[in-house]
Amino acid sequence: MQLEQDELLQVYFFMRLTRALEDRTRTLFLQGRVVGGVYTAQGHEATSVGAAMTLRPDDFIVPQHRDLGMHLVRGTTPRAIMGQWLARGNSPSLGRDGQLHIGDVHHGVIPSISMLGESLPVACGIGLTMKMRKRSTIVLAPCGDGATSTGPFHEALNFAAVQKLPIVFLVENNGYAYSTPNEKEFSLQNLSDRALAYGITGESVDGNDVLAVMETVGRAVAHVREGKGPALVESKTFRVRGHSEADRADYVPQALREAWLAKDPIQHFETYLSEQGILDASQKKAVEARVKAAIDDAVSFNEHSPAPDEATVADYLFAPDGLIAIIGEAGADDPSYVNALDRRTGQPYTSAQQVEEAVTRR
Amino acid sequence: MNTIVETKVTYLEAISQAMREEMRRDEAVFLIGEDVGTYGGAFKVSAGLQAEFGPERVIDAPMSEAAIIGSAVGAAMMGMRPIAEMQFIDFITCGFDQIVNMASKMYWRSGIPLPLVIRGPSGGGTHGGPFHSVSPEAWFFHVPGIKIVAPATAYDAKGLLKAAIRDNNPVLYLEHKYLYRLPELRETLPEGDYIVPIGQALVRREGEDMTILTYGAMVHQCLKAAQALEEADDLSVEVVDLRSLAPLDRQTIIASVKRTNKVLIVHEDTLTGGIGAELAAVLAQDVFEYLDGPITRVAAPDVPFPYAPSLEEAYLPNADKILAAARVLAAY
Amino acid sequence: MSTPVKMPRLGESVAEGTIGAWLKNEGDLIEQDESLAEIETDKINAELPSPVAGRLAKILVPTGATVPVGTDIVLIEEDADVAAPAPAREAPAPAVSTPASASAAPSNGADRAAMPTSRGEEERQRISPLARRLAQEHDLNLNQIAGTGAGGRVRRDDIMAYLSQRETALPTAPVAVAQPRPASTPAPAVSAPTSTVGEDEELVTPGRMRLAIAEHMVRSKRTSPHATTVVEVDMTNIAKWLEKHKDEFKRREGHSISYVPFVMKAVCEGIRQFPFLNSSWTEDNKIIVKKRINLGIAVSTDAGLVVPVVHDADQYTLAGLAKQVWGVAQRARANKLTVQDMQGSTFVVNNPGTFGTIISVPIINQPHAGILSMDSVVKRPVVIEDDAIAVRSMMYLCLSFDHRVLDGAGAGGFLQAVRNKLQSYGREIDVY
Repeated sequence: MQLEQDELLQVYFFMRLTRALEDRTRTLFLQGRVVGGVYTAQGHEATSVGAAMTLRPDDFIVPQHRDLGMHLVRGTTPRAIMGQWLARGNSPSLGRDGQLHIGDVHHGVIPSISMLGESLPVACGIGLTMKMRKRSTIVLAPCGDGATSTGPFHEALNFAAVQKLPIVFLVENNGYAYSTPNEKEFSLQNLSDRALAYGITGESVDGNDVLAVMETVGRAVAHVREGKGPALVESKTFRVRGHSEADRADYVPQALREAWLAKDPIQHFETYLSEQGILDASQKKAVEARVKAAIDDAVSFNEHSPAPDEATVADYLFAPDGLIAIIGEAGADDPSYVNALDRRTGQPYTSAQQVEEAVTRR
Repeated sequence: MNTIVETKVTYLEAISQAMREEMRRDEAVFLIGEDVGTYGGAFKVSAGLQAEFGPERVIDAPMSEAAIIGSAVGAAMMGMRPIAEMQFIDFITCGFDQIVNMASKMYWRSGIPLPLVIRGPSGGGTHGGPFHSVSPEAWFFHVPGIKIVAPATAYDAKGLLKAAIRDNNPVLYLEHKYLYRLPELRETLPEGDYIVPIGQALVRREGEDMTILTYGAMVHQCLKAAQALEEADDLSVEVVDLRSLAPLDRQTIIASVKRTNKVLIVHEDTLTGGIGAELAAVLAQDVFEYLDGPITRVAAPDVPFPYAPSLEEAYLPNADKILAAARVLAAY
Repeated sequence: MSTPVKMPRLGESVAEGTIGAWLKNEGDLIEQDESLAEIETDKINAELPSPVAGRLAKILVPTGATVPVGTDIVLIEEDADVAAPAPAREAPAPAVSTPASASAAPSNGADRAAMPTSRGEEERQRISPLARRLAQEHDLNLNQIAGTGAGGRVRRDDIMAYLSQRETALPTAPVAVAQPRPASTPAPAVSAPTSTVGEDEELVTPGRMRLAIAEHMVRSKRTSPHATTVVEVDMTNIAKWLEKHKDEFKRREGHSISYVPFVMKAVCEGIRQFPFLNSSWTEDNKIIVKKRINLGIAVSTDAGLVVPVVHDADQYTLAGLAKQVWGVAQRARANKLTVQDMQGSTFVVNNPGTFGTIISVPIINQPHAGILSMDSVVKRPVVIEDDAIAVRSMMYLCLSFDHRVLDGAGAGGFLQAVRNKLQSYGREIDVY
């Protein structure tokens, strides 16, 4: 596919940012400054960044725990991510939820929960609204190979198919659901074959090749945007680290891991960009500097952020009365609407911002 | 029109009216459920709605409670006001995760309001057996973030559903299938728009000697029992229809018990861990020194709901059983 | 099948009882009416006869424990051969968590063991939370208040009734309003928190029975407007008969006969003619006239005055009455009165004459309508027919009555009937 240089560098930047942010999170965890379950996705960068790069400004994503790349491409700030990990009082969840369970409907990001698979019916609701309101926007709904075994996965795909909802279901098959390898999870070679069961299109792609991902997902996005109903894409990648940072994943044969480490998507893309003359040493340095600056800023900002407010832990269970705007319609950010602001704080939602650079979209 | 006709509507028709009026009033309101569209619903609650509002606002969903509730959650996040129907409220268990993990926690953890209504026919007395007669309120009563209402009259059925639809939070609306078409519940409803606020109980019968706290179909059994107690025992019994289970109207409940000093709690749901247990705890805590007798509950026994008509009658609380319990409490 | 035996009510206003001693052990075979335990109360101690025959399966209340009347205290297995499986709760019946058995039975041992001092536990069992608060607010001593709730529990209405008796102005809007302390002098010495004792004084703490009598006397006077009227009776013929025949009677019967049976029989006759002497004035201003004549006989014991009952006194001959009287007196002094002995009296005959007093003004035993004192029979010169003077054995009968129930005419008429009966005996008396 023909992409502008700028766009390619942008892709590269986001992949580097994703990797670096997760590395820093891991460091903080090992230092005891991040607690609980820490999930990273080394090796997924091509899948999650690449898929998100195919979207248009008003499209929605419903990211899961290994979709940091998707978050960052779509405007979730490193500050917001770090605030979550460091459980700050001014995190998007006010310290009440952890990991990447954040979102901003005004910026097309839906906050996930820990029950994998359950986000897909919610994605159907987003798509259903788009259909009811006759929009041309679509939903990118990723899930893992394990989630394809859940009831809600099937209910969602079936429902989306029969209602022709504008959703790209992206199955990120990274070989393992915790310790369960594919061969114990399902009886298929390609998860894209599941599409047949729902009467929708399905395609598998090399998930460590960001350009291939962009091409394949882009094709699915176009299909969906034309109103032809949902599409399924299986992105084949690998989880080279454990399920969480507390999992050594000894159940993964070392040889298998090494084979996939050799197919590291960032290295792969770097090599490609270098060979294309798009990325030289100074540009790489510049990207690295930008990445480091962004992460340092995120950590520093949160180190100076307040702890969560214990006094209000039992507050804000229910939204106040008042008019609710339909997201995406004109005037939806009018502050007289209850959902224009985060009414727990009375402030705008804080997790996402407009993507910094304008990117040419297909 | 030259003649003024006083039309009495059933409890079921009142629910239908509420949905129709709200869907006319606000384009964001839509209905999704199994067989709700073309068929008009298993009980015909939504008859005629798809004809008026079209298949995009009255959606026939596949047999997928998780998808029905989950897509309602997603749509609510987008600012729509979905009504997700569970064909029998018993089937709500198939969408349990969407309610307790997705819906209930959404605003608290993310600040995103969720104006969602889940409604369905609950309760027994219609020979439904163990899987079509459940009272599910206790399961969700315990989940922070879910409001629960249970109307007992046609007036309240309409008013509470409107309030639920307009509420910006997940509301579980428990309509009672036994009350759907009861002739004695037919009533003339007010002409214009009205709501019954969530969180308000109603004293349906005033009394001085004892308070009965109840809701749903049992309201009518309690009123019968109260009447009998007055006639036979000269006992003055106050009957409070809770209407709203979450949040409870603590003010009305406490004021009543402070005045009568004896309280009987009646619900169709099973005894242990039913909402009556929470009411008893609240009263024991807050009005201990006003109690002239122990807090007493009448409820179904702690077993599944039986099918055979004779077993169903033995299982369900009724006016006679309520009366007997009231007498014991009165004599304390 | 286990039959529970309940703590009996040893007297109208007794609300609880203490297990003084278990006379049988778990596993023992019991005959019907055989004594199971010694029960102690404020008023009297008595033995509890078993209502059924069988084997003592389980003691539910230990020695020394005090429980409300009606509490299950022991289980008797009637059919000791068959081990009947405990029936499961009737599944179809809707579950009703009723108060009566649950809270009255102290048999959940864990709960009792965890409870604090016995005083706190007794209070909790005999008064509702609301009534206790009202009592505190009005500065009442709970010992003064009779309970009309199940098991003799004090409840709101009892407090309210007590307060209205005290003629303290109460607002009609009830319980939530705390009343100011009434200006009149409050409770009797029983409730006074501190009594200071002077150098030449001794402080005595009355026993339970004394306290109960004190409470009853005060309450009785406050409840019934007492009036007393007196007649004198010529007991000469009876006196002479007794003199002549009582030793022989005692030899034959094994027990003595006295004036008391004669007076009792005459009282029965009086009641037959004036049934309102055998009644009660109720709280809601009605009169309950009792059909059976159960005469209470005041007996003096070491512990104090007790009033055991002879049921259906009107059905006995004089000899029969003598036997009954002797029986209860024996048991009273031996501290072996039964439940039956203590319950159900409708009228009391008092016999202070044994101490030589000639006139007394007795206090009604609540909830009766009257009480009759028979004082000493004394030889006195009296005017007889034709204005002659003779020495006769004379006795004053003193009737205190509840003036709500009857007036002087009724009281006088009753006494007249009693006197006529007593004076109707000739020289020869058939006491059988």
